[in-house]
Parts: sequence; C-alpha cells; structure tokens
Amino acid sequence: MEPSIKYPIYEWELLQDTYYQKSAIGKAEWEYIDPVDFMFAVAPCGGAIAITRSESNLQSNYKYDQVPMYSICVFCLSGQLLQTLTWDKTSLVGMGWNENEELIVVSKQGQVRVYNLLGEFHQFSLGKGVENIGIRECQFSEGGVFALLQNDTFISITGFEEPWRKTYASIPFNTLEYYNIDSWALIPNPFSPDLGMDIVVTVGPHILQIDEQDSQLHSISSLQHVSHISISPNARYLALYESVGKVRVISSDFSKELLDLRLPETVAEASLKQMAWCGNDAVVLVHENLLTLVGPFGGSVPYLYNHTPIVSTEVDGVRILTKDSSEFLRKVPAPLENIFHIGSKTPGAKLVEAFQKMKLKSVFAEKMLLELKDELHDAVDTCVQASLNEFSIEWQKVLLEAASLGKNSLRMYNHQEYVDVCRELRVLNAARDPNVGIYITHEEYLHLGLERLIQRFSCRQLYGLAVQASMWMQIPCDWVYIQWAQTYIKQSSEPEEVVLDNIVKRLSSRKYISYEKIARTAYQEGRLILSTKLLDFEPLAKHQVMLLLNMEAYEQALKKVIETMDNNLIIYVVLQIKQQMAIASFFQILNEYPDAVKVYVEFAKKNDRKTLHDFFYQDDNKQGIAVLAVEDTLKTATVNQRITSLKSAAKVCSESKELSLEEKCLGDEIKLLQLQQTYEDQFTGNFVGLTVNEVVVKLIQINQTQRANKLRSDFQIPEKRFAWLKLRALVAIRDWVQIEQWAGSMRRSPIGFEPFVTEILSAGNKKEAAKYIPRCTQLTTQEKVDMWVQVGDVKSASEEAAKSKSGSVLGDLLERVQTMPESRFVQNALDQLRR
Amino acid sequence: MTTDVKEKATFKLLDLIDSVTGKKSLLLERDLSGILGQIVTTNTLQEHGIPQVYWFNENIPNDIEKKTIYLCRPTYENAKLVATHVRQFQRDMLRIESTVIVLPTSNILFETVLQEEGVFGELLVTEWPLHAVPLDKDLLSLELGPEKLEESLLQRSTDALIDFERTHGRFPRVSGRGPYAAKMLELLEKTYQEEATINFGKVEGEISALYDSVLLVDRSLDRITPFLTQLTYFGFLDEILGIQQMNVKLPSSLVNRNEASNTGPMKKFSLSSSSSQITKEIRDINFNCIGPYLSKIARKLSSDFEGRRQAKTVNQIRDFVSKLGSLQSEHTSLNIHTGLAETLVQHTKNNYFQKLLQLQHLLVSHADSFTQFNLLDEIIYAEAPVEEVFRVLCLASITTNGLRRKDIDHYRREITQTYGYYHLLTFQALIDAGLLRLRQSTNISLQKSLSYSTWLNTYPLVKDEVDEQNPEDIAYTYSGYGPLSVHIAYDILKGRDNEEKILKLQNMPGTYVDKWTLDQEKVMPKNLKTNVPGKRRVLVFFIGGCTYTELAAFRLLQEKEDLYEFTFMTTGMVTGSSLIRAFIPNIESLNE
Repeated sequence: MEPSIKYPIYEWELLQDTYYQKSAIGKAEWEYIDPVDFMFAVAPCGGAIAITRSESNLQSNYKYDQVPMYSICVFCLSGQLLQTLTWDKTSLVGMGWNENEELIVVSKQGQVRVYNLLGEFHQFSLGKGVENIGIRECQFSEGGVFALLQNDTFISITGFEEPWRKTYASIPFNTLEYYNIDSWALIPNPFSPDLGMDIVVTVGPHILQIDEQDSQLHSISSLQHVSHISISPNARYLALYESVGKVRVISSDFSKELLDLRLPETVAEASLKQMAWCGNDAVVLVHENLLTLVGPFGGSVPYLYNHTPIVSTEVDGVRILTKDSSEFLRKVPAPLENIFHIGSKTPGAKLVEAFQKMKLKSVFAEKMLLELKDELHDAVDTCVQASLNEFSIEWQKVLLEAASLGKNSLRMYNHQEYVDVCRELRVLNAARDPNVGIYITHEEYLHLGLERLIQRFSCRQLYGLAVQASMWMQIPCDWVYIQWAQTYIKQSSEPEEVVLDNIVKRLSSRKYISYEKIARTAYQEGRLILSTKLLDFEPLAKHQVMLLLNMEAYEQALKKVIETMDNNLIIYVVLQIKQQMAIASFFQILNEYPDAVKVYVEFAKKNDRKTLHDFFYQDDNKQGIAVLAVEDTLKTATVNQRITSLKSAAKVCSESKELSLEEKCLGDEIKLLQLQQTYEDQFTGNFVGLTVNEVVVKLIQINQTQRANKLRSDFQIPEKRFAWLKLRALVAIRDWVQIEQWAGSMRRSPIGFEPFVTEILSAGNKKEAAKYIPRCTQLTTQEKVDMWVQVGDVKSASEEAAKSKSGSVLGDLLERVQTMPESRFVQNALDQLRR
Repeated sequence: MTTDVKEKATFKLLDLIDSVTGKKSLLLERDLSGILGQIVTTNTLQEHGIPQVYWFNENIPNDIEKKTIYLCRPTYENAKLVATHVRQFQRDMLRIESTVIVLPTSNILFETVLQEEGVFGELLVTEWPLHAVPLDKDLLSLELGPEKLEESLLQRSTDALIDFERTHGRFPRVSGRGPYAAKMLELLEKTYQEEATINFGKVEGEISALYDSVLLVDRSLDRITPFLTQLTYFGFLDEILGIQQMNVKLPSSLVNRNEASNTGPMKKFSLSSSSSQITKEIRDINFNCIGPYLSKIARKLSSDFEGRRQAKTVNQIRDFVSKLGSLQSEHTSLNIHTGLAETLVQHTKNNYFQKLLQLQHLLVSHADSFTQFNLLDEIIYAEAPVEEVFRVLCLASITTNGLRRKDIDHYRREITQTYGYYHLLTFQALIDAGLLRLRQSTNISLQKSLSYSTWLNTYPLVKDEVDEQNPEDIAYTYSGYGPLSVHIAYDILKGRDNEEKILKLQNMPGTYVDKWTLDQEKVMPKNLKTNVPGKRRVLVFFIGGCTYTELAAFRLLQEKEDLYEFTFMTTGMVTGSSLIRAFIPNIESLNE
C-alpha cells in the first residue's frame, strides 16, 4: 500500500446498498462571490457557470458589488472568470445554456439573447403578445426556451437560428380559482417524442400535463401542496416535494409510485431551496446549509456545508457549488466499485493487487496473476473502464499499468482499445486541468461528443489545447486555426499588415487550410485590404471569387476568376459585375483583362450584341464593330434588308484604313445583290443569294454572254477563273457549238485546253472532247496518249505514240488495247518502228 | 476496359430517367444525339417510359407528355431555352413536371440563369456525370465537338481525367509538352489541392496499379496534322463521309443496294472494333491497300463458307453451324466495307483530290511557294469544298511562317467570289485564332525558332519512301508524313527516363512537363511489382482533339516496339474540315 495515494473509497458514502461518491474537484475562486446570492446557470457536462444579479438584489450593497450592474459574469468550474457579458437595462427572468455552451438570456419583456463565450450574441423577441403580458419564469431544454407568462399560460421557442414558437393550452379556470402555480417541469410528449416537450404543472395539490391542444389532470393519492417538481435526466421519473416535508418519486407516465419518503422534522422545518436529480436514480434536496441525498429506496445521506450550496443536475450526477468549493456527487461507477470496494475479490481488484505487489517485487505477484487464468481478460477490461471513470491521475496510472500488465499476458487482446482509452484520458485530464476548468466525466464526455468538447476549448481561446486534442484523437483541426484567426481579427487593433503577417505565419503550416472564412470575417470587420490579401491564400479559387464579388471587389474577382480557366464561372462573374456597375465602369474594368474579354466577347456575340457593340465602340475597336456588322448581315432574310445591312457594315469598314479590302468586298456584294434583283426581273430563274461565280455561270447558261463579260470587268474576275466558269457553264448545257466557236476564237487558252477535254469527257461526249486533244500543247506524249485512249480513238493514240519513237510507249499502249479491234494500228506502228 | 464506363453511364442515365415516374417526353439537345445513341437504344428508352424523343429547340411539341426530361449541356443558352419552355407551360396553364439532366455536371452560370428567370424552383436539375464517352475498347472521347482550342477545354479535360482516375486510380506520373499540357497539369494539381482542402488534407484514391502514366498531347504544338488529308481507312472515312461517335452514315447507294439484297435498311454502321473483326483489322490500314486487303478477306470468308461441304459428321456440322452466325455477320460487314471503300475511291477521282495531296506534300516538305499557290488556285477553280481551301491556307501559314499580305488579299477575293462574301468572317476568325498569320518582318530569329522548320529538323517528319503495305514508320498514315504530335509525344515517352535526353527534351520549343504524383521512389517499386513485365500501360490524352491517323500511328508504335499499351482519351475526334467549320458562320437564305 502506498500511503501517499488516498484510497478512492474514502470519498464514498453508502446509501442502503449503493455507494455514492462526492469529489472535491477543485478549489473554487469565484472572486469572492457567493453564487447562491445571485441568479445563476450552470452549463451541462462540466461547462461554465453564469452569474448575474437577480431583481431581488439590484440594490447596491457590499455583498453584491462584485457583480457589476447589468453584467453577467461567466466562470469556469475552477472559478476563473472567462467573460463578462453586457446586458441591457431590463429585468432578467432566466438564463440557461445549450449544449454548444451558448448562454440564453431571457428578459421579463420577452427579449432573448444567445451569447457565445466571446461575448458575441444574436437576439430575437418572443413576440409582441409576450411583451405585453410579461414573463414570470422560464426554463431551458436542449434547443429551446420555455416560458411561464404572467397570465399563467405557457409558450416555447425552439431553434435559435430560426426561432419557432409554440403556445400551450390554458390551465382550466376552475383549477386556478383557489390555488396558484407552484412549480412546473418539462416532460417529453408520451405519444410522439418528436413533437417536443409537454409541461407538467403543480397547482396546489393538483398535477396537470399540458400540450398544445389540451391539459390533463393526473390523480395521485393523498397528494398535498407540491412546492417543487423535477424530472430526471432520462425523463423517466418525476420527483415531487410536498411542503409538509415529503418527497415522492413517480414514473413520468404517472402510472407508478416509486418512492414516498417523509423527511425528519428538523429538516422539514427549513425551507427547501433546491431539488435536483443526481443522475437518474437519486434526488438531492437543499435546505439552507444542509444537502440531503435521497436514494431510490428511501434512504438518505446528509451533507452539511459552511455555506448554502447550489446544485445542477448532470446526466450522471449533480454538481454542487458553494462559495469556496466545487464538487461533484454521483453514484460510484460500476468498474470503480468493482475494484475498490473494501475486501473486493473481483478479477479487476486482484489484477490491481498483483500489479502493486509486483512493484514491491513480491513473490506473490506472479502467483496472483496465474490464479486469474480465464478471468484475466475480464480483469483487464474492468481496469481500463475504471481508469476512464477515475478522476485521480495517480489512480488512473495505477489502473492503466495494471491493465497493461494483464493484457501483455493475453494472447488475443485488442490493443487498439487500450490505446484509444489512453487518448481519451489525455483529453479528459486536459479538460479537468484547473487552468481549463471543464470538469467533465467520461459519461458526460460520451454524451457531449468529442467535437463539442474541442469546440469548448476553442471558444475559451485555448487554441493550442484544441489543436493538441484534435491531434490526439486524430480528427481534423483546421477549423481551430480558422477560429483563432477570426477571433484575432475581431479583437486585434494592430495594423492590417501586422495582422496579415501573423495569420499567414501561423497558418502556413496548414497546407490545405481554407482562408475564405477568415477573409470573410475581415471583410465583416471592415478590414477590406486585409480581407483581399487573405483571399490570396485561399486555395479554392471559387471561394475567392464568390467572396470578392460579395465584397464588391470586382477587379480582384475578375483577376481571380480568370485563373480558374472555367469559362462558366468567368461569364458568371462578368455578368454579375455588369449588373452592379455603370456601363462605362464595366467596360473600363473589362479592358484590363484580355482573357476575360475574349470569353465575354464569345458569349456576348450570341446573347448580348448591343452591349458588345458599345464595348467595341468605347475601345475604338473598329474591327470588332465591323465583325459584328458583317455578322448582322447574315441574319437578314430579304434582299432589301441585306442590302441595308451591308451598307451599314461597309460604312463601318470605311472608317478604318485597315478594312479597305473588306469595304470593297461588301460594296461588291451590294452591287451583286442589286444586279441579281435586276436579272430576276429580266430573266427566268433564281439569282438572288448566288455568289459571283454562280451568277456568271447562270448568265452564260441563259445565253447572256455580254452581261457575263460585264460582270467579269465589274468584279475584276481573273481571266483563268472566268475561263473555267465559262467552260463549266457551257458543258452543263451541252452547248458544244459555242464551245467550239469560243475555242476557235482563242489562239491560246488561259487555262490550257486540258480542262476542255476532261470536262467534256466527264459529260460523256467523247467525240467532242477529242476535238481539243491536239491543242493540249503542254501535255507530255504519254498524257496525250492516255487522253486519246479515254476518248476511244486508238488510231490517234497510236499515231501520237509513234511520234515519240519510243518502243516502251507503244508497248504499253498495245498492252492496254490488245483486246480491241483497233489494236492493229498500234501493232503496225510498232512493226514500223522495229523495221 | 471502356465497357465498364459505358455500362456505368447506361445505369446512371436510366436511374435518372426512372426517377421521373410514368410516361414522359425526352427533349434532347441535337448535339447530344450521337452520345445518347451510343449509350442507349430507342427501344430501351421506350421501355423506360419515353415513347417519343424530340429535339430541344424553341418549338414545344404539341403532344408533349405531362412530364418532360431535358437532356442538354449546361450552357447559358440552354438555360434560357429551358426557362422559355417552362414559362410557356405556365402561360398555357399546363401542369408540366420538368426535369433537366445536364451532361456531365452543372455549373453556377446555368443555375443562376434559371434562378434569375424565375424557374429554378419549378425544375429538378440532375447531373449525368458521363465525362468521356467510350468510342472503342481503347478510345474515350469527351465529345466536346469541333470547338476552337481554348482554355475552357482544360477544365472539362481535367474533370474527365479525374473521373477516370477515380475508377482506375491516380496516375503515378504525368508527362507532356506544350502550353496547354502545362496548364492542364497545373489545373490537375490545383483541383486535387482544392479537394484536399475540402477533405482536410485527405486526398481520395490510391496510386494506380494499372497505369504507368498519362501522356498529354497538346494540339497547339501541332496544328499541321489535322489540316492534312488522313490516308488511313478510318481517317479517310472521317474526311469524306464523317464519323460520329464511331458510326458512319451509309451513302444512299449502299442503303439501296442492301435493301435490294434483303439485308434490311441500315442507315448507320458501327465502326467499333468490338462489332466486327474485319473492322478492327482494316481500320488503320493505309487506304491505298484497302482494296487488296478486302479481296483477301473475301476469299478467306468464301473458304470458310466452304466448310459446309466439308462437314461430314454431326460434330463437324455442329461446329460449322456455331460459326455460321459470326460468318454471316462478318460477311455483312465485308459487304459494307467494300461499298464504303468504293465510295472513297470515287472521291479520289474528282478533279481536285490529287492536286490537294500534292500541294499538302509540297507544303510539309517545305518546297517553294510559287508552285503551291498555282495549285491552290486550280483547286479553287475546281470548286473544291471551301473547308479544303482554308485547310491549305492554314497549313501554308504554319509551314511558311505566315502568309504575305498580298497572298491573303488575293485569296480573300478568290474565296468570297467563289464561296460567298461571308467568308470575310471566316478569314478574320482564323486570323484571330492564330491559324492564319501574316508574315512579320520583325522578330525573324524568334519566329524561326518556333517555326515548323525547327520540328522538321528535329524529327524525320517527311519520308519519301514509305511501305504502305507493311508499314515500319508512322509516316504511312499520310503516305509520307508522320504526325508531328506523335513524334513529340513518343519522344517524351522514350526519353523522359534518360538523363541525356531529358536535357534535350527540356530545351525544345514548348514547355516540357514531367511530374510524379508522389515521390518517384515510392511509386516505382510498387509499379514494377504489379505491371506485366516489359509492357507499360499509358493513357494518351489529346488536348484539342485527335485524328484517326494519330491513333493509327500510336497503335503502330505499340505493335512494332511492344513496349507500351496505349489507351486514348481525347477532347474530340477532329478532321481539318471539322476544325475549319467551327470558324465558318451560318448565313440565312434570302427571300425575295
């Protein structure tokens, strides 16, 4: 036995057959404030305590001066002042905490504020009706405020982000005729828990349950005047205190009475200050300096205090706060009782004893370990669980080391579970440190959740601890850095460059952190330059862009969105800017970003040509305007519309020397369209919309050669092209005579005579095509021979081939035509050559 | 490999369709009809409650169902159009329940427009996250159409690549060359960083055990190849008849012939290699060899059919009967390919085709300019399609480092008079895009270093003697020119692990990028363990589109060197003509 460690059982009290433990968890220093003298609220799961003056002590005297007027002081359970909240000069009716450790403050006029630990708040009203009536009392449940109004009716508000109000049925008039409302509590709706809470009210000796539609009177035998009512944390039991000094516990569905205890006369004579549940199976009563623990089977344990305590229920016990102490009273957790009960022979107890003997190098240690045999696994589990429930760090070590000794002897044990427990203990012990002051038990930890516990560290500006705990538990912690930066921006009065430097330096180790929320906070605090610079560090470009738009930092938004290379986002940003800005400013900013211009131009050509035209105009972009103008001509549907449009486009081009060729081309098109109209009047057939070439072909085909020649000079058609057009036109109408006359009139054709052969041959007239082969003076002999063969004139082919005096040419020809009767000509020529 | 992609896309689409219960109409953006046809059949749509598919345009069908589904890209114009429809429904007091399925993902502009039009609350907007359409076993396409090469392609390319990585694991390595390749790598890293930010530093996905790397091919470095006429069978088909989502529209002459032969009308023919063994064998063959090859196949099929006479025993008869189905299918395929080949042959006999090939060859060989332009004039006189003319001009602009002012002016006149005045706009658009350039008198040294001649000196692009029958060189794809893009990419692939060659790679024009996803040491051992020895799988990603000849070139290298196994992903399949068409404006026909 190590005398330096106090054995846990010394703190235990036996109440019938159950042990209860009251632990002093720290010396409280409420800065000389006695909480009992003030209105107070204690946050669940070891959270903060809020203290303020109630209406009864608004007058100034030495006793109350520690809490300033119209202020709410917030302490942690070790007594450190966390924050002083400022309240308007109105009467408070109640305060409560939600599980995010936000303080909800309700005034008599129905004003509700929700504060965080930084002192920030948002507020809303319970409504005009409530303002007129006034609130008498209020209570709080998770996510809601419940109020008893001065006219004896109840309302509730749930969901503080978007408050939703509910009105409860009235208490029957005859019930209130002779008695007043003495106490009330919240109880889950028995039929539909999702519908929210019902209210249980005691009116003299009567108990009623009220929901939105109805109120129901419950009958309890021999019930006398009830001054206090309290519901257990699991909402399964109701505790009633009758003013004659009797405590009753019934099930919350009123079907069963579980306890009926009359207190001793000396206790009952004092007035009851508080009644609260200790976990789900015991009730504590506070009469002046006496705290009485009432067990589930009627026994009781008294605790006497120097100062009147205040109590607050937890899921697994009750917190007891006095002027100079902070304590926690609970039923002893099973694993701890299993091991530390006097004379305990459980496997866990044996394992601890074996470990202690081993440390003393006792020869009996090994023997005890061996004796455990099949119970060793159970022993290890018990020690591990006990360590989680133990407050003393020294005993935690003993328990964990005993467990480690045991598990190393086991072949199949999940070591990860042991590691996880060690991690959880690190977090819990860190929270319980007096400098932190969150005296949370393991069960409360499970109830609250790890994320919310770490959130509490962050809200207390214990950022280092929040990060450390996140790392221990291997969960993301970037949000802690973000919260730190946000708070730093709000509270700092340093120059912006200093703030920026400090934030970037601190956050540079976080490779993937998002700066968007931090930048947004800076913007909301009016630090525009800081906000813009912080956004440069935001890795998600879209976040940057959205916030910059929100900040009306249009130029920066445009610059950033271009980097995304996302055309949809670019167009979105440009359109947003266009909506917000004067058109001249919009153009000015757009001009600075050619990449955005490129995207916008493509978009606006289809969807906003008017603005695009103005944009080009202000930039003196004549080519851009010209392109728009020419594009507009394509959309016209009638000749006259097109001519008008073309004239407009030509005028635009005339204003720029670089566009002179375009201007001429458009002028030609106008001239062409006008001619086409004339031709359609004069001749049958369609001319409108044809190209220059097509018109020439058509004119020649209808025997208007003179007009075709005029087009040739008017539109400066090159000689070669004109010749091709004429040939193609005449072939199409099979005018072989005119082709022959035309060919005869030329000594030399601009395109040679090969096209004559090929085009006429394509039209299927071999005889006519043959006429022009002799005039193909630029062809090789082989090419001419090929042509003669194609038109079917083998005799001429052989004559042509013979001119070359080449046996190979004649030989090839003979091979090609040897199946034809005319092949004899080739044979003769070949024979002639060989002779 | 791409089969899972297709099945997944099918299931997802049908899920989205079935989430609208009962009978409904489908309004389909015209550009997406090919993609939709690739994924589901009309019968399947009918089985899922869509009796009728309409085009999605300004007109609202009279007999539209009470529930409608719009399938479209999430563009500003489509958002406006949907809003117009919904407001019309409201004016007509129709209780139409509308759902919009966007391909592949929505965006803030699309949704903002719907909100500003006041119809967002009336709609359900869902996403069909099919980023890349599987066209063949080794080919996926984003099907972004013949769009101009611009940075917005990169966002969608990155999304598609990341989507691929979610299925196949992250690529250990990313390599490439060119400004778009560098930007895409940057965007890829940035997107993963953003994802890490959202997930508090956790990046999803493990390194791929399947793929060695992704190779980025940047179209902006090689603008030449698409402007040449492709001479592989598939490439030539795409040039002449057009291939859409690996389907070719059969010419009417072929349809008539097939109807006459009682095989039923076939408007479209699938060129997917999984549909026919013949298709797979002939797809990359040089077109000049297609005739003899088809004849050989025909003879083989005949001898296979002869197997009927050889079948004596019951087992032999059963064997033949089991082969008969595939034999008949191959026979049908052969008939169609023969017909297609004949159609292509007819095209080569027109009065400009040979001149075109000749001119292209002169240009890529860097010959003199006078002859070039004489040939081009003749091509214009022969009234070749205007796309062909512009292709030659762009090609000449690139290979000769810009055209002279007077030449551009000459062709502006020739083209506007022959093809229409509105091609002034085509000229301007091509000049703005940098595909047509004026020769500058200054900065000669800089331009030379970036010009085509640099690549001509670096790689053996042009070969005068190419064996088209049994090709040894990728130049067979153009009968004498090997795609520059493939030379650049393959050079990176071969040289990136060689110390001496890396220096050379870094000094070539265009930014060279080579990035390991994790530290090289961490990736290599794992890679070596899991990969087939000697064979490394590479995803070749084409930014700005690719041609069938480029695929054929890579496949030749894959087969000949036996070092790599390629999978291809591209923003779209392109030809020179489809690229040019993106710059040609539409003109309204005139009434009196």
